[in-house]
Amino acid sequence: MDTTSSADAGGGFIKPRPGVEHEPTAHLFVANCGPAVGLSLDTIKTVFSTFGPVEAVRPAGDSGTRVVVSFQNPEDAAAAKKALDGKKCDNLQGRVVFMQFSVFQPPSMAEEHLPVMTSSAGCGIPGLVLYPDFISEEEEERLLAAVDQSPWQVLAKRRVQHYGYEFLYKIRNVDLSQKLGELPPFVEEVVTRLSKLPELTKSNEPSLPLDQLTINEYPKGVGLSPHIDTHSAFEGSILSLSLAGSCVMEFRRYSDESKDESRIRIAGDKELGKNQMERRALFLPPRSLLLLSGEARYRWHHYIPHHKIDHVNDEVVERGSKRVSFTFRKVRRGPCKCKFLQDCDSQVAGIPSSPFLSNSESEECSHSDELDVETRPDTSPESSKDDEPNVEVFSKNLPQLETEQAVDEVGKAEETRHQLSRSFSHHTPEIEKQYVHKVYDAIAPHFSSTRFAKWPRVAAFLEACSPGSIIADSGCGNGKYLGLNPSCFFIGCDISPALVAICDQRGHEALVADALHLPYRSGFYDAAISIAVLHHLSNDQRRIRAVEELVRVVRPGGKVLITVWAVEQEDIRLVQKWTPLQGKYTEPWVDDENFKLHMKKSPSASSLDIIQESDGNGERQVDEEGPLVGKRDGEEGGRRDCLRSLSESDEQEISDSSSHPAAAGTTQEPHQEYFVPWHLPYHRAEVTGASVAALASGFARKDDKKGAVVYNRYYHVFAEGELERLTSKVKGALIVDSFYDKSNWCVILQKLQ
Amino acid sequence: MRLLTHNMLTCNIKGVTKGFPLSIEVQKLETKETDFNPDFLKNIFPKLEWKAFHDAALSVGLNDIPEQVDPVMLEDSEFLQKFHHALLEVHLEEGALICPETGRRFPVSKGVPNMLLHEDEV
Repeated sequence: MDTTSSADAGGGFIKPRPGVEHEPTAHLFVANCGPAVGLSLDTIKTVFSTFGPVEAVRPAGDSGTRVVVSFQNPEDAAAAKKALDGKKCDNLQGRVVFMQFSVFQPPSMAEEHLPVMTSSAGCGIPGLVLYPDFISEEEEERLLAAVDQSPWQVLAKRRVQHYGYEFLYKIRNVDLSQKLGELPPFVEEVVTRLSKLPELTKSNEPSLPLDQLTINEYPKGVGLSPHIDTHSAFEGSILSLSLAGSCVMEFRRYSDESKDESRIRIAGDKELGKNQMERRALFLPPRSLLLLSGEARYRWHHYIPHHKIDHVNDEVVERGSKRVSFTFRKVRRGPCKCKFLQDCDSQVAGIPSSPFLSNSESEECSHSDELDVETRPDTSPESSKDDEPNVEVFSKNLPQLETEQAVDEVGKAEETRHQLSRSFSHHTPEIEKQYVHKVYDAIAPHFSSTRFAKWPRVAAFLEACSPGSIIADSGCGNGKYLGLNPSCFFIGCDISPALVAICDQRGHEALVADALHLPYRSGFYDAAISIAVLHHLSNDQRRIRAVEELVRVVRPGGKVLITVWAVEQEDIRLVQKWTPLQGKYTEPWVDDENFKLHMKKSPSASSLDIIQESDGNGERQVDEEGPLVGKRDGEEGGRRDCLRSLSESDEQEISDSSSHPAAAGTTQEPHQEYFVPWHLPYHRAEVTGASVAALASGFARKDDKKGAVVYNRYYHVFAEGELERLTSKVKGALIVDSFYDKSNWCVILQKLQ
Repeated sequence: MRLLTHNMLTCNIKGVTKGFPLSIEVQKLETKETDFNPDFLKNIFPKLEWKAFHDAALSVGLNDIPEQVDPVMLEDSEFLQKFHHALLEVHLEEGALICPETGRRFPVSKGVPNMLLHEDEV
């Protein structure tokens, strides 16, 4: 398609994309011209009539800055274009206008006009209530004056103030441990009145007390990308007071099918079926209160188009010079348990608020203007003109951990095999120190800001723990699972002090320790979890040792959940962004016969010196993504099909790209040793000396195209059956469940009585 | 670090047979209010090494934790309050944990114990 349709109620004109020249028609699409810039349609008609009879001047879209001028004759249109296009036009207040020929499109193909409701009842969205004139003009004035006395946080397109708790745009959530204080005195009266609303005083209604306030000031023409407020961040109703200016707010509900569509879309499709998205529009006058609860809050995206004028039925309403909204919410303490699972980040891992992303967790924005949007990007046709996509799809995957201090094994070859094995597992290979521990320390805050979605399977495991259980999270990363079950006591540990510090700041109990050497009493814990940790350990002995430690610290009957990245990624494109390591990494001295017996796969010993990034790697990276956080449908059958096809392409990939000797003659064996890139955006890297040093030493590299410092993390990804084989070697525990979930292999072990 | 955490920590240096309980060196304490949950206290009670908990409480200046304890005391709300406070609300912010066998000092900084071992300790 080389055109976009104008969302014009009067009709169906299409605007050619830049650079596409239509045959002359009687219709001129004129940009930088319209009511929003002070040129009435009548004025425009008068000016253009000097070239010939003008049939109509219609607004093109809702921006108020573009019109379609329809002449009777194409020749007159051509004359007008020739005379005015791209030139300063004195009769149009000296503006430089730009024009293109437009063609009329049958109404069926033009975008449906969306009627704008002036009452919430008209929208028919459960949980949506609009109270016109909730406050008086005097109160409005007083609130606006009070707000201007307080400092603003300036975002790219609007200004905000946060009270109670700061809404952190990077994680789209609040930090419960960072309470800013009480709500300000100037909203006291309003809060009192809000607290008496019938919707908030119903029994079982959790909205009170309201403890978070975000004030947004939108300049004229600035809107808000479609989003649902993060489920896990706030509970109960969301109350938003409009002051100073009006706007039209659009509500959208995407069907689940449209989410599947999104994947196709990413793959290149241009159109999203319109009937897969329900839309409603509601006019929000100044001094009105909008209340969102239930379905309206949890299921419908809300959106303010970036327009300077709004069409409210037959009226053109110019937005005020600014609109200020006061949004009152209650911070949630504990997971969301709503029934709208498809949009719930508490209940579905990696949930995007927009249906147009795959289910990976979102990375923080890399464009400077992204931070102002409390939302995921929307790339739907009608909003893409105004809304820049603001989030990169990012990696799933959680932290790692482990370390061991090295024992110098030289000269100890005469030790028994058992002792040697122990030493081997205790020695922390250089590859882990360099490409796991050091990397996570360097990227900790950024990594943490991208790690908030919880996997349902992990959550289910934790929630099944009986009240009062003590749970150890070994390799807890930023601690996103700590406290998930509020009736249990969690303790986390991680090898990275930087990540543990984040846990501590969030009020979690955590300590710095090695997963291969847990500093815990044996049999103390009711359960233990190891989420995305074992794949950072570089040999089987160490992986087994880590499992042994988990089993050791739980009580008899206690359960251990272990998840690791799978070779069989649901999204093969991810694997293509990884750098296969040349052969299985092994410490040079393990050529000892005893170890050969233990190596599951023939090692082709290599050293760090020959582990290099392939030159093409950077080119193949489109985004930093980890394993996909999962197909939403979760259907076993579909998953299996997916796996089959992926493993075929996986093998293809390996036979094409792998040149290491181990691959020859073992074509059944998928590649398992990788460097997985982590992109640390420059604006985050600049503040840490670690990245400067890492770049200087060649440990990290720059990717100017992406504006990021790129670190490599070591991964041993697990093949089907491998995790079971590994854990079955650990004495004293049985595998009670094993499954594949969201590109991870998982087992649940139970310690024997 | 809470005393509950202290009660589960042990020194795992290679060859150490009695790494529990770690003695506490206090430089700075903090009290952070935690929701009172009697059921949790009753659940955790059987898991605790009471002597170690009692001694730890003493070392952070709490002398109202009885040395001898009986499960019937869990019905006494006054006891539960003290138990709750000592177990969950007092945090060691700065200081150290010291291995009873080797004297190895594990630093506690900003509330976080560092239990990593040196290369010659594993």
